[in-house]
Amino acid sequence: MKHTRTRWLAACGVAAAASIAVAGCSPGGSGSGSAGTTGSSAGSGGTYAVTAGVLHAFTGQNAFFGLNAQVACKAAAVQINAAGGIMGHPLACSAYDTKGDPADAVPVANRMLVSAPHLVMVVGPDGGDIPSVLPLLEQSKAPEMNTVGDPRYDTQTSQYFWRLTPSDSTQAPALAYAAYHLGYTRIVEVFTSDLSAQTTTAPFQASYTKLGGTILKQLTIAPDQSSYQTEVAAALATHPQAIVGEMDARTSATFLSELRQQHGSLIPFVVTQRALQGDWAAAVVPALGGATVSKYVTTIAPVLQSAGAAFKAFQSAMTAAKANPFQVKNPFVAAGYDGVIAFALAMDAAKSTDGSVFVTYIPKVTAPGSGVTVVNTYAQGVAALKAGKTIQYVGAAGPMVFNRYNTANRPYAEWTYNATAHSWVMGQALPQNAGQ
Amino acid sequence: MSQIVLSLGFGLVTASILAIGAVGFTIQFGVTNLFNLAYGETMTVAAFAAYLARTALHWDMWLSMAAGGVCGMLLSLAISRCVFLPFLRRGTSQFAMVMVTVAVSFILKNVLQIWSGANFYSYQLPPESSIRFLGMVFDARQLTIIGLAVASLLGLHLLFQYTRLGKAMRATSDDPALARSVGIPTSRIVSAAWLLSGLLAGLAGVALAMDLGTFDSTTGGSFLLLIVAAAVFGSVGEPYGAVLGALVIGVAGELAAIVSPNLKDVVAFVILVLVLLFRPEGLRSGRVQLRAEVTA
Repeated sequence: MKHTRTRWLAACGVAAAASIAVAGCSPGGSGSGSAGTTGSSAGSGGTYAVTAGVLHAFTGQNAFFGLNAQVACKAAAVQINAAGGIMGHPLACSAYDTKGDPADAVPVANRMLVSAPHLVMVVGPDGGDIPSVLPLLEQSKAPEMNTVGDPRYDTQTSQYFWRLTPSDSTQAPALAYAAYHLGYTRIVEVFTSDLSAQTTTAPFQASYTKLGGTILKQLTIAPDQSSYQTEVAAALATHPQAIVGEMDARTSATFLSELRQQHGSLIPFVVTQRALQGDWAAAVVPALGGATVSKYVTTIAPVLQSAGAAFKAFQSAMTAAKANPFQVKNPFVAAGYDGVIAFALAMDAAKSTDGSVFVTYIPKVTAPGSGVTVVNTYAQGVAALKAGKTIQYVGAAGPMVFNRYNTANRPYAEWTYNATAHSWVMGQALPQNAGQ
Repeated sequence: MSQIVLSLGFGLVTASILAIGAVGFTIQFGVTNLFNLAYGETMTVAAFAAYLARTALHWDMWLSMAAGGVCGMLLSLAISRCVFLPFLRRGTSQFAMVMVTVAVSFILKNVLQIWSGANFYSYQLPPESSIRFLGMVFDARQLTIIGLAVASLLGLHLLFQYTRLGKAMRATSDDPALARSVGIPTSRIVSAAWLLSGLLAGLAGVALAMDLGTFDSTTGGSFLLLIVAAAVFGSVGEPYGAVLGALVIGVAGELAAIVSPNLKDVVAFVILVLVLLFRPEGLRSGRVQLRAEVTA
């Protein structure tokens, strides 16, 4: 009887752990993917639609990545299709849910490759999914664009990998530079233990100490805990001028609430671009209040254009794509939008939708140079190409100049939260290569 | 030393929430013998019910918490009557029943996610000043949560020791057939256990959401592992053991965070594994108060 009871308890324990693990990985259902005719690339005959596969997490903790990428793709498609499509082919965006899990990403990527009608580009994946998915995309000659920060890709050589935003190895120095130049010379560093945050820690420490700052304590915290009281007490015991680091939405809400409770008020918090992702303010602002976030939180994220033809076209397309206010102000969404348009212009320049052909044209339509015609919209780009001109597409996120490892380095800016407008507002741009 | 005392205080807050949740979980298991993995979602639904009471009806936070508790009771009873009991009556095996509870958990979680739009919610409580007590730091809300836990557990003690309902629950737990033969309406007693368990799940869910500052459709489910650990630690079906388990896991986690924040869960679960290794039925095995097969 005792053995039966023990086995029963063990079985329940295993079932509990399995249930919670599965729930943690995938709180939502599976996403949608479009079925259709086969083919991973298309020639230039007929009027069939071509597809951009949005291969991202659409459910689970990182679902906002997929939702942002999807709206960026849809907005770009609005603009491309309004200008007649890519060589006459309308562009459609289809979602493929990786659930943010590399194990799920491979079969989903395979499904996309065999079922997406005339797949010409892939938006995503990000983070941990890339190593498992990139070989499949290379094999199918499907170029992908991403906003991954992992410095391991700083010297990658695949011609099908295109990083639209800077590496964490440049974000970290910018974060250090901003924190130091905001006057915070004695700080506590707090990063969550997940990969995307951890890739920033070492370069941040190197840059910040090189600038002359003192890191009083380094805390690596597990995300989504029910309490961070002891960690907060340890941080406050060192009397820092500010907290600098990266935490996801729920962790930030709990950590900062407890920080305010113990300290009596918040202390300045300088955070990476993670705060600009749509879920962050949605979690933290209700917990702390908009005025508190506005007063104490500074985010370091890439620059976003706030005027001009590219900005107007982006805003108009985002409205048509039914984007939310956070997405319209998100430089990573803007980068995704620009990426889709740049890929489309590369196809126009190459006169081919074959990935192996047009990838070499991506830098040709985005690089600056003497005699190039700067274009801010897809329609302008197509017109200039038809006129036989060499173009540089400068979109909503500004110039997108790829280095030889296919990473677009961009300047950073300080962003603060506007409690009245319920949105992030870009402030002062940091110098190019700040902190490096 | 001061850091240890501080962490002890922080651990008490976590342990209080954990204790309310773990006792509810273990009472329900003790009377029904069902390892209910949908318990975390009951907590989440209650947290949302309190949110609605607070934002739509503009109720006071503690009244909203009571609404969350009532919602937990009703949901718990409804799930037991509409889903679990029909399976139990057909003699479904215990392992299959666990899978049924997993299915209910997924259904509730996904319905909540669809309804809540995968957004975060907050009761938007104003900041409160800190109160220092014996080197520990609390705010008034945390002290109220600790007080709520103490009152709940004291109330349960009185219920089990001195009331007819409590004694009937214990009798049903020990031997339902014998309890029925002496005229105890075991079916009603099982329903009462579900109601009581749902009430505690609801209170724990709202307290957790208050303490976290923000919550979403996955909040209760992600806390369930700690609740199960506390219940198993103290011997499942044993309310006093669950309280002990909650205290150990809550306080050990905070103390471990002094050394390294990453050790928080590690230490708690290492202790759990060691206890199960040497006392497979938990710390209070042999002193079980509530345990029975469901035949209602």
